[in-house]
Amino acid sequence: MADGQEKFATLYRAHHSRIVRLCRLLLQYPPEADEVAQDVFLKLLKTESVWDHTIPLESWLTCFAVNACRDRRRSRWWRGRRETPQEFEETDFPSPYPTPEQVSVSSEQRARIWQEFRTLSPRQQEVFALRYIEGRTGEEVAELLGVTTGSVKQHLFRAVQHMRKALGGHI
Amino acid sequence: MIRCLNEKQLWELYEAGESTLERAYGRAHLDSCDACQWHYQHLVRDLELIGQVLQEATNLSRDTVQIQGVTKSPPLPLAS
Repeated sequence: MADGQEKFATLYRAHHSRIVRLCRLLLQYPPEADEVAQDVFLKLLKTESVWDHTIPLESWLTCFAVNACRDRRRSRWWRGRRETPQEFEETDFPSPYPTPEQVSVSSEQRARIWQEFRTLSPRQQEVFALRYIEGRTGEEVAELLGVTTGSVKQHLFRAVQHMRKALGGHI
Repeated sequence: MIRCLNEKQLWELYEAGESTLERAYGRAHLDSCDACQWHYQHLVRDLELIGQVLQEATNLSRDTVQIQGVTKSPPLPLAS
């Protein structure tokens, strides 16, 4: 059991930040996203079969996080509790020194990017986050979401078009 | 390929990476056309910027999450 707990703690340390980030991208209410991320790890703890290494744990966590966020979006109870759509409050985790890139992106641009991201369909948000934030390949995204690579490409391109409007870079 | 590339074709080249045979004609045009180069660089810059903004805002600086003074730790297994 102690060995199992150690394994779990190692996995938690390695993936917790990534899973929280993914949940925060897919759910617009940060406390809700944090709770879902915590649930993902609780589920991992309770699901013994995932420890047999037939499925890579990283993929399992990602898959479960996406599904948990999807379920949460559908939940009426949470829908009622959510506040008005909001972008992530960066002040929650202040960085001591802004990078030059951070300085160069105006707050107006940031707000527009978040606004456009929130208006993407849930599927487009998932595809965009997995491809461009998590850096997964189109094939990996398709496998994680259980859709075809063609469908991933279609959703991704629409999302890219939509997001670029926020920057005025649409051709 | 003589005609300039549209947004979708440029994006497909971006997605395909450097060395795909199927996109060879598009890549050849891109390499030789200043207008398409300009549009392509804008696409790359936009995607990097969007990724950067979304990533920064949701990045956690520590292994544990601190919200309103409370530190979340790994969930403990329930006693069976």
